[in-house]
Amino acid sequence: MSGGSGPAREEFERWSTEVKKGAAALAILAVLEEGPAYGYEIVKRLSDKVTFLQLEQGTVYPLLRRLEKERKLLSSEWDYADPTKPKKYYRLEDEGKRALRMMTETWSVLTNEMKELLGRVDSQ
Amino acid sequence: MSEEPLEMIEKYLERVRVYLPIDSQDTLTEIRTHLIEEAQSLGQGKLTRGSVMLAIERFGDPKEAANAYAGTGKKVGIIPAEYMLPAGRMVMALVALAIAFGIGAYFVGISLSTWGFPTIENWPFSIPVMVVFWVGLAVLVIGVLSFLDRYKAPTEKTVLEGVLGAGSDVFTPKSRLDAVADIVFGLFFAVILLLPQIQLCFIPAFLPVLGVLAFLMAVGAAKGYLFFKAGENNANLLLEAILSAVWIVVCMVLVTTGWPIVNVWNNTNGVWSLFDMTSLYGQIPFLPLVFNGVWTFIVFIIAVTSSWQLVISGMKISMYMKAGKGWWWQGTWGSGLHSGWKKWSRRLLGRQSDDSAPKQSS
Repeated sequence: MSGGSGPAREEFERWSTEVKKGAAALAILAVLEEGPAYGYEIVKRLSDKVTFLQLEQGTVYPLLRRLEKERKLLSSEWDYADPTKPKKYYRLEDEGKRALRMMTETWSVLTNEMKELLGRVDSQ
Repeated sequence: MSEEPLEMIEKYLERVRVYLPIDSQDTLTEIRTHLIEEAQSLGQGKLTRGSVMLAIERFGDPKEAANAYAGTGKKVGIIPAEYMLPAGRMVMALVALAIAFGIGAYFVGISLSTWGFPTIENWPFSIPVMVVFWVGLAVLVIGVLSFLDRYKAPTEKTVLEGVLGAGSDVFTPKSRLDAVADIVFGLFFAVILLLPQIQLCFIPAFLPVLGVLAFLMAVGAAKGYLFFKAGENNANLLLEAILSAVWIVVCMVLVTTGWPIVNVWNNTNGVWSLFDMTSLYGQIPFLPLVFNGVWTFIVFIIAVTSSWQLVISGMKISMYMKAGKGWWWQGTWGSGLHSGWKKWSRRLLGRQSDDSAPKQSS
């Protein structure tokens, strides 16, 4: 993103952080919709698929923890197939699926409306 | 996998552990797996020192990584938030130790004031003065230690972390080796105390307590078995707490009996006979005083360690309850070995210590 400094840049940074924060949970739920996955796998898929969000381990693991322990949207199970690298697999719970559906619907409404609005801004 | 890169990961995890809540083994195991996979990916399938170092650097500063997991804020008052958790844990351990010593001292009739401890003066003005003094001192100590640590590599544990982690060892679960020791010594002494030949050695005032002591030893062995099988969970900790409380009560009785051994078995030319120790008292007049002093010290140690166990078990139970663990689950075990031994055991046995084993499920 081009930029420099000044109030515009600062506002962009703030807005960008807020957007990323809001989209991170949706992105994680969407990855897990494809099937159970463990931490490193989720981090890799997210960093490959959604580059704008820049979701790194420092964001993903704490968020996974919150989605599991506090919000009960995910459950987890340890896999010991490789004892040197036990893997904690996360899966979507029913509540997680419901949350994902609602968030996806809202997201598409938002993107469609924003597209329309930003289309008008572009054409001016 | 080569040993050295893995050791770098373990050292980094030790640094992260300092800043995490006590029951964070799952988190550490998850981070460990992440670092190994990331390092293997960076090293094209191989775990090298370089790839591990890069993976660790990507994971970031241990304080920040731990804070992200622990979910604390950036600052608590003027103290950096990342130091609050370990410092709080260390303070908790010191308070528990002080309580344990207080109870022990109370039961053996020693008042702290007799050891020259000053009484509180200028109360309540002394409270804000002391708070400001201690906070200032804490900031100074953290500042100096952080300055000493400025050139440390990311995998090296800093002096500050060593200090802040000083109280964390008491919160690690009992090792299986310690549990086995509980079983063996508990059963051994329970049986020994019940032998008629041994009972002949004690003063009559002590004999009514012997049965209770043997029973407590046997319960201690049962507790050891439970820890050996199921690791640390709330049911086992509760049993440990109750047993410790009973030991404290028993100490109240033990301290009143005085030195309990009056006879010792003596073998002369293959013949066993009882030697009456009181016969020595005439020759060495201060001997009863020495024996009673030793006995008081033993009772003091039992009272202190029991109080310590009681306080720590209580803290752990409340911590696990807060985490919604309930009473019974398959818990983990500590390694029970000094870090140097841990390293050698890993080298010799080629396996990770029990410390890094995660729970069965979450």
